[in-house]
Amino acid sequence: MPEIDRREFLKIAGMTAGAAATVACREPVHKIIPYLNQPDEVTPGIATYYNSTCRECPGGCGIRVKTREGRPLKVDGNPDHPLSKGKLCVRGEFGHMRTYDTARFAGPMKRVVDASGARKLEKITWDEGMTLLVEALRKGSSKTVFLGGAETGTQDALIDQILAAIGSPHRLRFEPFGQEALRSADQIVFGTDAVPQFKIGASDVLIAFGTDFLETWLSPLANQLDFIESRKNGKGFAIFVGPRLGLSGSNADQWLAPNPGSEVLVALALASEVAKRKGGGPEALRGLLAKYTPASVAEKTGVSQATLEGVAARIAAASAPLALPPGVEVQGTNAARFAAAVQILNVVSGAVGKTLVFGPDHNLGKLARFAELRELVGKMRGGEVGVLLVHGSNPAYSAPQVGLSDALHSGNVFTVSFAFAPDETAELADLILPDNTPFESWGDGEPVRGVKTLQQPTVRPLFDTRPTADVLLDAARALGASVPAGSFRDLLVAAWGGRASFDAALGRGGEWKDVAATSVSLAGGVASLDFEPAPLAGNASDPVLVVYPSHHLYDGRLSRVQALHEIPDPVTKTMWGSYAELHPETAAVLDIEMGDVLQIKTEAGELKVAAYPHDTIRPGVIALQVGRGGLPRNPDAPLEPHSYWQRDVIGVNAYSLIPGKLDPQSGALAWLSTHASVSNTKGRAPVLRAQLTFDQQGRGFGMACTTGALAEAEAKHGEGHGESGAEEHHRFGEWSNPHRLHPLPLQGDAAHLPTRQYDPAADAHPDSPYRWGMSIDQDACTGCNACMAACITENNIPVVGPENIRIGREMHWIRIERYVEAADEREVDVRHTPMLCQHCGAAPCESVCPALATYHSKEGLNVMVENRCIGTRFCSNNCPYKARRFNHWSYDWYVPEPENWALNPDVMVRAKGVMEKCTFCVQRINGAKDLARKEDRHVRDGEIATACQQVCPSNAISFGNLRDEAAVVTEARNDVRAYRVLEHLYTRPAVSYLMNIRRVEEA
Amino acid sequence: MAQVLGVMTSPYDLAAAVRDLKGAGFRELEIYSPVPSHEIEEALDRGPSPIRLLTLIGCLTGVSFAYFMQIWVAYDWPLVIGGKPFASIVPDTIIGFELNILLGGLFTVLGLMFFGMWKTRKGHDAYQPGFSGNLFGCLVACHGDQIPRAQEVLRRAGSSEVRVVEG
Amino acid sequence: MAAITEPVPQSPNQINDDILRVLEPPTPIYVLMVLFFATLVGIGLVAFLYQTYWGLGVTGLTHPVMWGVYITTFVFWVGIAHAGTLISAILFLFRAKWRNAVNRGAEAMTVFAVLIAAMFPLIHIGRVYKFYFMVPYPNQRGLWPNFKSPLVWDLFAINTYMITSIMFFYVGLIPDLGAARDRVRDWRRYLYRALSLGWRGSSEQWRHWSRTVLHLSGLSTPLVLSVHSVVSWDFATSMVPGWHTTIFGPYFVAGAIFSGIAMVISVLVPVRRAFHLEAYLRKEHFDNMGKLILLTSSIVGYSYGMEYFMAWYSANPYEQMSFWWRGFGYHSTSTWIMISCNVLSPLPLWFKWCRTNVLWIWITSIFINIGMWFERYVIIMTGLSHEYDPAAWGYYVPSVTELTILAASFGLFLTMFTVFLRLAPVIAIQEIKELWYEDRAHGGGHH
Repeated sequence: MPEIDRREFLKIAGMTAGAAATVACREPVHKIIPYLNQPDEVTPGIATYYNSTCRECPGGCGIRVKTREGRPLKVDGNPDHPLSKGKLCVRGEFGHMRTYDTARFAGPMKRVVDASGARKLEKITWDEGMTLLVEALRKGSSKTVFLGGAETGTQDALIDQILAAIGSPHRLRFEPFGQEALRSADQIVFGTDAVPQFKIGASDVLIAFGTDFLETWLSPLANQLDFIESRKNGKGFAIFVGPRLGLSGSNADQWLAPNPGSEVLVALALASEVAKRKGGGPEALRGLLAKYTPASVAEKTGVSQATLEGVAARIAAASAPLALPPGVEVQGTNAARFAAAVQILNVVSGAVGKTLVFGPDHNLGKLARFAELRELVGKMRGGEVGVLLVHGSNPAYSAPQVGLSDALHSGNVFTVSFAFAPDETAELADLILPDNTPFESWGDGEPVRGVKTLQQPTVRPLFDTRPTADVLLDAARALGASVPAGSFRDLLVAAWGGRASFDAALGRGGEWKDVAATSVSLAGGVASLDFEPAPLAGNASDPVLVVYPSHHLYDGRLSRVQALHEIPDPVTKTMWGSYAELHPETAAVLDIEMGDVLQIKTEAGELKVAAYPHDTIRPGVIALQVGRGGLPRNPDAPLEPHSYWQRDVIGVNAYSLIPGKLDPQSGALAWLSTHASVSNTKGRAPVLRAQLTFDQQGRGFGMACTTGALAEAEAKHGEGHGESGAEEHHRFGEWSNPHRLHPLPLQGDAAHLPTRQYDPAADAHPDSPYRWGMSIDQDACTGCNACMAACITENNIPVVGPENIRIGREMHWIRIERYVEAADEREVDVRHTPMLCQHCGAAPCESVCPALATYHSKEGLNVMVENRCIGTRFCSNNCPYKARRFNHWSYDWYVPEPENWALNPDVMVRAKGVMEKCTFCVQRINGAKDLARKEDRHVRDGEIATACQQVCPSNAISFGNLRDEAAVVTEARNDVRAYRVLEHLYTRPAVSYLMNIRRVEEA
Repeated sequence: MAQVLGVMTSPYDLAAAVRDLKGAGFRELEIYSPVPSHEIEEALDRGPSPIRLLTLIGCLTGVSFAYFMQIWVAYDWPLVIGGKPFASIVPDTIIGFELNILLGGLFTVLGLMFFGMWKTRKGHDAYQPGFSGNLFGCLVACHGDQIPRAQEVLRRAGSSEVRVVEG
Repeated sequence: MAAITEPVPQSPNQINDDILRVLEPPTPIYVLMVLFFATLVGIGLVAFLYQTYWGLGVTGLTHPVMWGVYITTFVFWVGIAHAGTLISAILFLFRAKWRNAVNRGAEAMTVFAVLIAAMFPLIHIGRVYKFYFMVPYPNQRGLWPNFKSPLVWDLFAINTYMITSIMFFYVGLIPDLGAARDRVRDWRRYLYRALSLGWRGSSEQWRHWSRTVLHLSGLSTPLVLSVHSVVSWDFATSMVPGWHTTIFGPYFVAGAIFSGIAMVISVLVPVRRAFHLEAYLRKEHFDNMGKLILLTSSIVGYSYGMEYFMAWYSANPYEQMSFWWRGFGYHSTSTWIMISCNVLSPLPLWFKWCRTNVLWIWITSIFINIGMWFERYVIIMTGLSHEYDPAAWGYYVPSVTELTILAASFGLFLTMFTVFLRLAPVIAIQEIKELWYEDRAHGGGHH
């Protein structure tokens, strides 16, 4: 509805105007008034972009924030940034949503005990807040501790400076995924505790030991960019060693699932075999490696000698192999040794200096070890801590083992939280002095040596919040401590060498220079190490408890972004909740079915959660994802009809099952340390699944060809009789052989059925210079969901909530279909097929619409006119790709303030009763066409990027004009791997897919 | 001009009466009957009803209008729909058929309203409720001098009652 | 028919008396019945307003099953609407005498059923307040509906059928309204006077009237066959596995007649009993309708079988999967209800005893009504639940709102029919008389 669109636009413009015009008051005035003095950079209706830094995980990617009338609407990668290269991950896409969080603290608050003895929060002014803080610090004097997260750069240094100045330099930087083991391992093996660069991009054989390098490990976005780089046109080979195929595992080509805990032996066995094949390896290690031959460990690990030798052979033969150190899900009480073993494998395979480079290290700052946190909590219990300042860390949730809450109580510590939105630790705080969100505040950091990135505000603070650095500065001054003059921003500018250079860097988003690699040598004493599998507590007959990080919610810090709960998990395709994953065999043994409520019990605790059996997890384990089960509430936040997390807790907190065992060497928490007793309560809970089966029944949605077949086909293609026609498709059909794992009585592969060659002249008006089309490279697609996130923020796609999801009413315009063809020691063949509107040339949806609400545009787009739609829903029924979504309710009514400020004014919000679907981001197409018209030319190839394409960290998507022979998308469409889904229905899709490449010999 | 009404209980007697009356030179007859009767129809021999033609006109109008509308609309604002030609004659046939039936039916019923109801609305003082029950009536229009002749014919034909109605 | 001995009307007047007796002032039970049915309608209305206010979220409809109870019920009522025209038009052309007794009731049913059917697409669409986007009306925006859409064909077919069958019904009623006018003495005589349009049974009127009836029958015969074919094309012209088959036209038409006759029986048997019309709704009528049921039931059963056969024989994996789910999947219960009601329950009617046993055939007819509703439910549900994309498979469970509105549709139908009983002769008097006279003429004197 255009009028709604305009109204929406005016509303936002008005609010902004209010905000901009009135300096003193920070709450925007909700009046529709034009700009009195129009600020520079801001033209109503024209977007302004700011380079900044993403703070949703310590990765520190550079982002480019799109703002309209002073509101950040969309986050994209900063193309100039060495880490993000213009791309972004599913988490980063929602960075601004934490600023628009409905439950944010509107201002400082203090904890009071009312008559009934209940502790509750009470609003106070900043003056009161500051006085309370200063008093506390004065009393606490030297017994003040600052507990924060991973932090680098100016603010980090400044806080140290301030703490020193007030005479209490106690500080702890705690991260749940703190890489303690890796740091210790490097200390042991190379004599430095640096976290080196793992050059995945340069590797040709990659072996990951439970490393979730595509989800949370170090810098996931950069990892993914590199990973895809290393796998271009069938290159590269990845092996995953771990109990469960996560996102990273699903994209590997081979899966070893040794007995949980014994992965370390696999690493060593591989090392020794590789050493053997490479002529012995370094002298120092020979003795050690001799002890761990494949033969000797085969029985302990449950991985056959042949398999181990095969993998070792591959690594030995590789020119640039790389082994990734263990991720947290396999981190046991032998964590450091395990990591050391992996580094030894890197040494013998010759990765060091080639794909494993010290020098441009990951900079996690002076990150604490879990042991230190426990120590601190001990101190609190002993009353050695007076004041606890918590900033950007939530140990009460992510480290329940240390028992922060009762320690604070028994040690009666005065706790100050700087959280801008409620979290478990803030629940314990006596005083809350909310910080600005990253999108409201200045900052900088150096996530990787040589990469200094800047962070700048993109919106005026929505609420009465203040930068923590400034608060501490003021407090210190009030205490008479000597701290540098000026605000934090002044200090930041100074730290960047004054205004000029600061502004220059700001424009770029930071400052990056290459850091020379430093050579490392094998430290002594490695040889004397001995390695044991991680011991597992509990009854050996019970399944092993595997707890793993969340791809969407990281360690739980994003659990308040509801869209992230609604995007299906990349592996289980579940939404809105926690599910206990286990292998169907295990389920059968324990008499468990999908959706049964299980009671999972360890020495640390117990919880109830629904069962989710699936194939890509090792038998004999039960896996839970962290990040959910938090209870972040704000008593003052309005309970909006559809803000679900305020109504009830989503899922369970898996941290609470991890016993507090530590790895003695690294002081890391042993995530993998126990069996869990699992009992079926016989209760039933809904399992909210986006996909009911991972078996595509050979219907040719996700097709694949083997490397051999590809080579052959490309040879033919070169000779020129390889145009994508029926006959060639038929050959691919044989290659893709989709029935291998699921022998069905079906002959349904699209390739077995006649298809026609694409005719660029068809499907758009003869006069039109354009026929918009897309091509998606499935071999590149990792299924990371970034495209879904981008689509949601770009196209105002509503969150419908668990009640609607339960009956299958998700609204996503693009979804990632996951098909498991093989997942075992021989091969992992998991196919990810992004499914969106195919903009068919002969669209089945068009001919059935009685109201002409959907028709074919001159440029070949399948246009959906929402405000002409009367909602017969025939189009959805008739769409073989099921790409259409129906508005069962008026979802946009339910977007609460201030979340609706994130709505994109270029795209209308849809009311109840109308159909909607992917538009190929028509607003962007028209934008580009307007520009081209002004300059009196046609739109150039690459000028338009759809939201999904722009964000895709795999560069899997290309979009453009199919009538342009030279266009990237046209080339991709004529690629030998190209096919169209369900093409035999003669829908003539505009979206073509490139087949998966199975890296197996069989042709 | 006077009218003579003969009331009978059988359609066959009535048909006979009609034939006799016609034979006796009476031309202006009006019959009342509770049921349609072929015998009477034949006896009166009035030929087919003009409604036949109306139905035909209705049908033709319907089908031609339907095709015209659909084809004109297709080119009035040409849009590609599912890769089909703007004017697709085959699907148009369906609506063509429906409107053919619809207008045919409407014209037919309008015809009934006009010929059956509107044109015959006047001058029926002779009607009596029995005619919708089990009685048949035959009304003969005649000049004064012919009245006895008419009465006689009607009686001979088996009328249970014969009376003169002033018209 | 000689075997059956039942009372026979002695004189044309007795026919009037017997049939018009139905029009006499209502009994308390009758009033209660009407009130009950009307209440159902009221509740349904509330449900509809609720749905219109909140949106279709209140239904069980979801991705990928976007059609549900509403379309099922729509097709069901359209089917019911076929019996009337069949009996009054086709059997009229075939000169099947036994039709005379039942055609009035059947025609009335047709009109009511088609009125209800026409409501359901509107209840079903997402924005009922924009329904006119489907209608080709000249507007200054120059926007037209899509004449290539089966739904627009439907719009035309259903409305044509509605208007035509109303006209047919009314024209047939005129002489009887005349008779009623001459007999009834209360307020209703003004009504009848107005509605009978000055009918006097004059030869001129009979002449045009008979011609009109003949032509309307001629027009309705192809119409009645076309309407349900067009409805079936809503499904057959789509690409949904389980819908996209050429058998749907005849399959649906047969099903429609099947359910229509069944509904006629279900409704007329109580009427016959309540108003002592045994002399007119004679056993031979039920005997004949029983035969019609057998015929159509066999066609429908054959179609079921043929659907499965083609799914297998075509070697089309999508079809095969779809029908596997239909037979043994999530919705298989509905499938087996459908088969047992529509194919098995009519089998005893092969025996004359069952056909002429009014109670038996009545119960059978009830089963058939249930079965035929489920037939449409199964087609829609199983087709949509498991389409091409395995990742987009899903299930559908009707919501309370939908079922309420379904119940209300029956309430509305029965309300209209019961009221009609009191307002117009439920049996075509003049046609019965015609027969009576003919019997006399051919010395039959007796059946």
